[in-house]
Amino acid sequence: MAKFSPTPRCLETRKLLPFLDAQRDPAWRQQYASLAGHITTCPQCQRELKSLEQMLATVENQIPCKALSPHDQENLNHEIAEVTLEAHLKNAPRPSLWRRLLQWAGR
Amino acid sequence: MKNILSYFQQSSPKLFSFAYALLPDVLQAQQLVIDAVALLVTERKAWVEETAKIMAAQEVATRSTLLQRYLYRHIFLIGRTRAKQVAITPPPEFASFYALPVTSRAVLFLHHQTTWPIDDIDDILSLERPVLFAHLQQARHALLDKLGARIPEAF
Repeated sequence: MAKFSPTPRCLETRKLLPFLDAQRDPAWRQQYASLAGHITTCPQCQRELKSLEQMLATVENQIPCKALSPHDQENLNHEIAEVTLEAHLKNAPRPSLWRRLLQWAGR
Repeated sequence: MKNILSYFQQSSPKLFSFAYALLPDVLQAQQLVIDAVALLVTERKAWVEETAKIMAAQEVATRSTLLQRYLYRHIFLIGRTRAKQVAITPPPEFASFYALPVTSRAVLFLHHQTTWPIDDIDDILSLERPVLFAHLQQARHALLDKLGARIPEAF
């Protein structure tokens, strides 16, 4: 079997392949569009692309995407509401009963 | 007030996931989200002025995107400091991920688990584009290395 010798286009493709998933960025999308034609015709670059996609899937499986239980989520939302309300009352333009109460409570 | 509160509450699951990627403890991650929201609401006046300036310069950015960016940026900044102060045992199934530095974890999470464009990730983490890509590549390499997975030639 003849040894594969990469063309300048192949080398350019390999340089950009690791950031293939950056395609959602408009500037990068244009650059990849120009390489897409080459990738579809070059078997070596296609293989590289496939192994790269597998690698990205492995990486993605290792990144946690933790979700809270409904109870904890409710607690978090409650805390957020409390913090937001407290800041709102402190920054209220005129002293209100709530503000005076907060001052009285030392908060 | 009601609008901003419901906005925070709608965004909180996503913000929590990001915080958990920085600090693998449910309570610490929840606190990180609360602290970022508290910072935003107490600095609201300054923030509104700042966003008005940015929005005048970038027509594309909406207020909601700027709000999200602010929250993600502060979760990252507070989380990075707190990660040095507290010792947390990471969940064993993600031990390889949590062995990475905080910035690498943030880059990996934002790039792979969210729909943020690269421009926004630059802004959230205050990194220049080449530095961001260097972090991304190093983090992926380190993660695959720890897993003993084969790293493709082009990578």
